[in-house]
Amino acid sequence: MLEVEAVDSGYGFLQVLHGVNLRVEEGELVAILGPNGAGKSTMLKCIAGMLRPWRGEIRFRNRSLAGLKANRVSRLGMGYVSETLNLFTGMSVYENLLLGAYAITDHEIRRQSLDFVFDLFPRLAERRPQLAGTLSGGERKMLAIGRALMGRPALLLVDEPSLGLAPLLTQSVFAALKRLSQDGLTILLVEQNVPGTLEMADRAYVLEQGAVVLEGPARRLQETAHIQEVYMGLR
Amino acid sequence: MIAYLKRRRGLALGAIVLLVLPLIPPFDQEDIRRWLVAGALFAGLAIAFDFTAGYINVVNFGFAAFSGAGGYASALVAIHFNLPPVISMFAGVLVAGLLGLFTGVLTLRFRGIYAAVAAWFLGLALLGITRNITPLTRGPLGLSVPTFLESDSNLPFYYIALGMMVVTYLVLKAVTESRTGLAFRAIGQNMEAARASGVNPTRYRILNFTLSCMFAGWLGAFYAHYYAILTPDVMNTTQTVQVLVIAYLGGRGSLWGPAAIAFPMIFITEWLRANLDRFPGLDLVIYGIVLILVMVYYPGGFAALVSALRPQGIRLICGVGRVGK
Amino acid sequence: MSAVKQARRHGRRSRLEFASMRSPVVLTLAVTAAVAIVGTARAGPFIIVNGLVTGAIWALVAAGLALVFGVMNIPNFAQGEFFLVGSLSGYLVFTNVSPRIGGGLAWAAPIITILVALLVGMLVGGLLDVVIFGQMRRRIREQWVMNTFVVTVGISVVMINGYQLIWGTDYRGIPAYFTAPPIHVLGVGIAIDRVFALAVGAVAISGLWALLRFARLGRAIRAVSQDEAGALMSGIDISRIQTLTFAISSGLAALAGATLLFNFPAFPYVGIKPLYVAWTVVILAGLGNVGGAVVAGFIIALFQTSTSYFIGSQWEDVVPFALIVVILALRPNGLFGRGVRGVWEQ
Repeated sequence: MLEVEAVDSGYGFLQVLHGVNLRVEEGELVAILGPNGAGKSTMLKCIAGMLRPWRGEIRFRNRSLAGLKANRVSRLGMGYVSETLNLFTGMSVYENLLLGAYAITDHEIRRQSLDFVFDLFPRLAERRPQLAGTLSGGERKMLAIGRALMGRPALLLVDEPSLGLAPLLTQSVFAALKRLSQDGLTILLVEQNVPGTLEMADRAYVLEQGAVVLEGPARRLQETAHIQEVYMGLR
Repeated sequence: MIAYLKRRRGLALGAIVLLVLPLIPPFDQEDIRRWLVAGALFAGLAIAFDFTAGYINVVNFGFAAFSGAGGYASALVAIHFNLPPVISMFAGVLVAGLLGLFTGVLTLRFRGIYAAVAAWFLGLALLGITRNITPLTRGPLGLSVPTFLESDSNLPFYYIALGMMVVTYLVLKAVTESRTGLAFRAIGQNMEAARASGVNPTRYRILNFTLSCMFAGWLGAFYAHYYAILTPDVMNTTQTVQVLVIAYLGGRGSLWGPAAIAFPMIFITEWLRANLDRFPGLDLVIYGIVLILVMVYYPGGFAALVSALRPQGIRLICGVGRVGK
Repeated sequence: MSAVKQARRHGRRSRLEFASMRSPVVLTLAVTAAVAIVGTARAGPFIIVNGLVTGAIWALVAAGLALVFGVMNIPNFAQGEFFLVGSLSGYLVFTNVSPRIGGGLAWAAPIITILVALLVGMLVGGLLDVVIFGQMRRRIREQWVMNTFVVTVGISVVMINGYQLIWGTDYRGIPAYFTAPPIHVLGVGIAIDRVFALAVGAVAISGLWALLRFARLGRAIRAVSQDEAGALMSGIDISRIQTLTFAISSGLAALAGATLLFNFPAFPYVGIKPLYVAWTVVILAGLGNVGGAVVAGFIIALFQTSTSYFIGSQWEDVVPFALIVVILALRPNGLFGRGVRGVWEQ
């Protein structure tokens, strides 16, 4: 579904990614792991079209994303939940969700997606008329994921869902992602919470200093010495 | 002195060119000398304007009003106390400086565009007051002002204007190259970061506004005692726009860029005005289009262009010295 | 900014907008009411009536200004020139259309006129946005507010002098849109043209409000103003929304220009007064606050009419400006301002 080939990218003069390759197959839940500043978020931004790759190619559903702006990429069926969430803080939860379905003009489909999101996150249904800026951290995360789902994505990119959340909330967000994955949604996840993510993911890539250093099925990575040493504090 | 001149090679070269220019044909005609006077005056004004816009990043949109207030103050002192303009000018400096101080204090809590608009409104209020207190200013009828000296030639006026421009440049340049200038740039870039690193934005903004307006008032006084007539229109927004265009085309944050571009700009507009009188307004249309094009495609202006070309040895041709830094 | 801090900030503002308005707001509103009452008592109700009529139109121009600043971060100095576009197209349309349709349909001519002016204004504005600001969006990110401000100054210079070049400096106006005699309200005779202007203002403001509040386009406009990245992620074409926003804003100014044609004939500098007033209004309301601009439009208009009645018409501009400076000194973000958004700061 998604192929990233030899992508270099960065900000201004600063190169962050050095020839990253990765692929996500239909129905998979793939995680990108790695320390702070490894380029995980930068990778997601490139895929979502928020940042332009300097070199290399990104293909989504057999279509090159070269030169497409983020709004075009979004309309191709890519949902993106950024690290900062980018919610419309001055609008209600309901309006935020409606904007997520901006590209969908069919009322019936929009209503179905809304029901689906409210079913997934009942908290959002309770807070429907409330301004997004007044939500708690966990609710904001849910709203951001919900907004991305409203566009009926084929692939969902999620940047650090556990960031800034209490463990209990992290668990419920992870549970929701797991449920989405079981329903057949393809998900690409960036995380620093390595043990929890590897429990859930099908496959994972480990990014260090802008390059992939390890990749493979999550089960196998869990047993790798490097992962256990550096990310799990075992050994 | 030698070392100083060496460091200021470009300036020295420019000054020499400007000193002899009105003596060589075709610049020795009185009509063209008038343009030269206007060029020097606007160069000075653009320097003072850039000192605020290019460093603390606030467009003083009431600039012409402050400058004009300086002109009126100097004119009134010269008329009512019978003082020579050379002395009364300092009344202009004082009044404009006080107005600048007031503006600085008033706008110190505002961010960029709010400060610009607040200064603009203050300028408009000043303009309105000047227009309405007719017993003092004669309002739109215009106030006759004594000139510096009785002379048919524009040459002495030109040297006065040039001297004032050079003094404005040297003083403001010295300030921007000091630690104070560093603080100006810091608060212009990012007020919060500047405050966090111990720069008090309030103090520096007030200082900047006051200094800029003092020179504006001084040059405004020259305007009054050169053209010998003052109408409230000198305080109008269009006058500010004229200075602003020169400052931005010249390249903000360089001081010399606006000064260098002022002369050709004045010449071109005067020439257009003289030769395109069948098409009133065409000169300003061209003016505006050039401004838009520069802002969209080359917002660094002339100064950035010269800096970019410098490695190819253009420096000597352009007669431009070291640019800050 | 951390999520917690952000939540706190928004929490404060959600506790009813009035909670964050402190004494200067109350004071201004009280003074406005006092001026209205005293003015009415001493000079008759026409102060309020005139205030309402001009206020409605200033609110249109100012709402456009606020919208463009809120969505695109452009402090538009050329807003008055779109008023001029409206006056001119209003004049050209009305003088051509009015003689052709007579009799029972005469009332339709002014309506056609202002609608055409609205369209022309939107077209010119949209075109300018594509040609100029679209280019800038692709090229410039730093110093955006100041750069665009200077560019709009350039646009204003070009439009004023371009107008003068083509149409000269003659006044092109009409005595009135409607020939019917004035109607009487509270003992004041009000020309039908003023009633018409008030109605146009009311309809346009309600239309704008409904558009922003309920329409898909309006929601997208608000989304872009609140979070550009979020809007992109939701599939919104920011550039298109910004072009449309600029077009709407210019259209509103042009509509105002055409509506007030009986009072402000088209000539090169006709836009200056609306520009000053719109800026005063917008600063008073807080930049980017469209709703506040409407309220502030009425406040300013009331102060203008009372100043010109009690002090003299030559002070009509001075007093409001001085007032604004005082209000700004007390509330740097404007009366209804909620603090300046991050992007607006340099």
